[in-house]
Amino acid sequence: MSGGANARPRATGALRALALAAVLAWSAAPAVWQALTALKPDAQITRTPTVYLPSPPTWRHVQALWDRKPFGRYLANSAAIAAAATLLCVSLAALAATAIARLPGRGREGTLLALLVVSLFPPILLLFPLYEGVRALGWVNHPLALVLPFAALNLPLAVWVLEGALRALPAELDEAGRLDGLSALGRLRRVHLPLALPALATTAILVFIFCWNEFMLSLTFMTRDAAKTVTAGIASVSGASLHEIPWGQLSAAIVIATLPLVALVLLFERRIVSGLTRGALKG
Amino acid sequence: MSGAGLTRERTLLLFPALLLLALVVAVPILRVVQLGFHRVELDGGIALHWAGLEPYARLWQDGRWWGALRNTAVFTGASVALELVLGVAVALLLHERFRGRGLARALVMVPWALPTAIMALAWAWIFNDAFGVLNDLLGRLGLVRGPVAWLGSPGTAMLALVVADVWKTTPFVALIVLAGLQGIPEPVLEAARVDGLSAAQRFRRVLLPLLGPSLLVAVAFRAVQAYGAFDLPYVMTGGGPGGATETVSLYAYRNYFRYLDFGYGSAVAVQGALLAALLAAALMGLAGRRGRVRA
Amino acid sequence: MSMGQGRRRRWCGLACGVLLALLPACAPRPSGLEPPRLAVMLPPGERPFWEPIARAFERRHRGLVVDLVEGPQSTDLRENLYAASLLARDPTFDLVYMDVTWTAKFAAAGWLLPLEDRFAAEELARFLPEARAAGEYGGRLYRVPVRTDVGLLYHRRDLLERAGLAAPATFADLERNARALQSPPETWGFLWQGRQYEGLVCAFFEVLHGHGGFWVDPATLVVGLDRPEAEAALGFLVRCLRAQPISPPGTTTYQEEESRRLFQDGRAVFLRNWPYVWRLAQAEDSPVRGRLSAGPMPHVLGARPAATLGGWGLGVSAYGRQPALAVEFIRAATSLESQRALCAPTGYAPAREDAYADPALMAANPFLAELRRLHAHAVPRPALARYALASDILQRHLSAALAGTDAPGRALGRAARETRAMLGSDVTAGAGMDR
Repeated sequence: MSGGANARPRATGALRALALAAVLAWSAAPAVWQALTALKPDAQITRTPTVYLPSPPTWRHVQALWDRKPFGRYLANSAAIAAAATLLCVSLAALAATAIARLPGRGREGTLLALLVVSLFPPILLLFPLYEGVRALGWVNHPLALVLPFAALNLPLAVWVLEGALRALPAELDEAGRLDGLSALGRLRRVHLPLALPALATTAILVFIFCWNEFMLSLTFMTRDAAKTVTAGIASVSGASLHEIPWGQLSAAIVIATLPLVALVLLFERRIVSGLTRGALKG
Repeated sequence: MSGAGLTRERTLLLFPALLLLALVVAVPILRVVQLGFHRVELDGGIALHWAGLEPYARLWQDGRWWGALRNTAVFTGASVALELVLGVAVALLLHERFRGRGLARALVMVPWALPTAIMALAWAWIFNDAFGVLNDLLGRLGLVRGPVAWLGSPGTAMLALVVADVWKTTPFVALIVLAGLQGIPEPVLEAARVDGLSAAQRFRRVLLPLLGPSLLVAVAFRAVQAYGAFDLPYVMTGGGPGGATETVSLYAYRNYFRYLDFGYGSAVAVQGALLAALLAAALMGLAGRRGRVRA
Repeated sequence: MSMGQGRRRRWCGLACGVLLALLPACAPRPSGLEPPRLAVMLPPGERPFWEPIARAFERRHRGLVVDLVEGPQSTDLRENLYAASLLARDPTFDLVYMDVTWTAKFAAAGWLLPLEDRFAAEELARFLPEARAAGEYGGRLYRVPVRTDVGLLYHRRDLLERAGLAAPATFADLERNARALQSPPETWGFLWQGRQYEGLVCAFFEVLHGHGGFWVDPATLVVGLDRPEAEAALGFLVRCLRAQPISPPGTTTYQEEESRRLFQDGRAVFLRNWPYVWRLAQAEDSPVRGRLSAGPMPHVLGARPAATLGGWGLGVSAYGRQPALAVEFIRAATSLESQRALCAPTGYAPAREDAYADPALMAANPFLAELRRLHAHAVPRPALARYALASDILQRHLSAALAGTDAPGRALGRAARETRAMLGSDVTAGAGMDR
């Protein structure tokens, strides 16, 4: 649908640009607001009428954040846990999706529905039995206490997305692979996965972001400062008094916690595009 | 793979995922189901007393449960519907090749990348009547006469929740639909264009059916996530005003940790999940039947 | 396929690297090699002020480590974290830093050790009686108070003086003065917390007792929510919001912070809030610096002013590994020096009587003298094991009445019925939760 020489290129182009600008503004506005708040001196944050631009911008909140807490440590913990959980989840989901994609209609639908139903128990309610289990295994403050639940909770979604992508691949490729003497695993790795790269990248991003931003389990299972993730760290950002919400520091924490994710998305985004072009060349 | 059904190969492939799910999700779910049939007493430990269907009978009489169910249905329905429309629109916009597309895609993902629990605080502040930037903007634009207490009345509080949720999760739908769009081979679209179909016709007759699987994934999981939404209502409204934004998961959580009524909280969770599962099965059956007829 | 093999090797390498990185974490933790620890979870803002207390205790007990765990800012979240930990009989926390409203719930669940025989009578007599009583449940002591809180009415002394008005003693006075001095929407008359949460209960509680009513009598379990006094109390609050309002429409979304900020910006005449506001309002850049007074909430003739009792204290977990040391720590944390260390820099109200005569503390916070006087009006919320449910019931119905979705009388009637059902079910089931 791109670049075709049509009757009204200019009008649709302008409309499209406008729509895009609107979408970007809508998406970015609250985040930009957070960034501005992070740079505002305290007095300007809650002034009425609203002060939009910080004058002058101050780095004090970011500084205070880094001084008072081992934010670097929190970021590292979040990254390690999210990476491990994503790897585990996507690997297992890819294996399972291959099997499910080739099941006959009823079996396939039933399995997918069962996976969906498993997701219907909000993780918040599994918190208690999971905590019992984590406690029994002595895994409180241990990264595995989060990695396994995160991977498991995202399996249904990962399987659904990957299964959809694998099913869309033509069966002839599969046959060719089988004729070449590849096992199912070999076919998965050499034939299916490279072509399903967009879906893989999508799933990986979604799972990673889920793990990074997960709040309740991280808060409950990690009590030691050295083990905390970045969301638990943000939750303990506090002001001088019990009721005070330190908007400056909180906003700074949000921005710092989100920048790695945005960078990750930018990185992965190119992989989606490159996967697409490779597929086009082959096919 | 030739041959239908579960070959040994397929079982082996399914095994690791199923094992993880069984250990980490299924066992806790069974524990919750078990708790739902008992009255739980705390006296140093957790003592279970069999209560059969009594918690479920109590649930039937519980006005607060029905309110929570209604709120959850409204929230889920409104959010998912809006996200679907917006998500598809955004995906279509981002599917075009243009300069800076990578950056645009990353920017569009920003709402999804921000942690819900913390952003909910920010949203509550944005919707604040005296200090909120929304009222400030609307006032400057002349759209409202005085400050509106968005979170102070039931209707607008639900609206605010839906807005915050749609903002956060539209990228999720957009990303999945985008992945689906990229899986559609160029020749199919070219053929449609050559056939002289207008953009709207191309969208309805060619794209939408081909996007079917992606849309199903997006809707199914968004519905499930919206049903289980906890962080957002908990932090943004606390279930108020007057319980108008209390969702099923919020009610269950309160029973668990605030009232320490595990039996009843489990019954709430199980009942909610059952109803939602029935709905999901019905919808999937509908989608499946439609798909088969069309094919 | 060499390119594919190379990529495959790289991915394998990456996977192995990640797993290797996690491996040390998977190794079983050596037990018994750690020094003996005492752990307590504190609110993040308060934790720095506990450091000197903890270090002093460590010096007196060589080899012991006092772990001040930083919890989340939100009180509810910290309560749930403690609950999750204690439910699982986790020995992670030896001490429980608890709000007044947690005592009954935690004690009834069997999570706390009774302390009355670990402290001498004269030790306990040193605390403010209301604060100490708030740590009791079923006749036993489970929580030793560290700091206390009471609800107050702040007023703009300058505005009242300029108009020749005195501080309001009755609700009628409050309404009249507020109406006379306000000019909405720039300046409002009366700010309070109306959002659906515990703070609403606190605010209503004071108005309720000021009208001569009561919520639940913990001894007899009689519910007073559908009596005329309660309806008058809720009626007052609803009147503040309805025709000719003296409170902004956003009050139903306000917690402590929103109301404080509005007041501190000089946009209101009266504010119902906690003592922490005073210190912040006297800061250098506060627009209302030096223009405030504080006093008890108003009352009707024939009733006495009431102040909702709040505050924090320490209890001993039933699952900790060193209960004796934990009790020692409580003793140390409630010494005069510790109270000074905690309250002087923060402006908290200490729970010890003699702290209010301490020259250093009074010099740092002159407002404490006023607070001690106001503390005499403190009324505790009912000590029920299922207080959380009772509070939620009340919150929801109050909020419905304030939002206009239910009439005050009917809302209170519903609340009373549900509360009675809740209390009744405990009694008939013989669960023994409410003694």
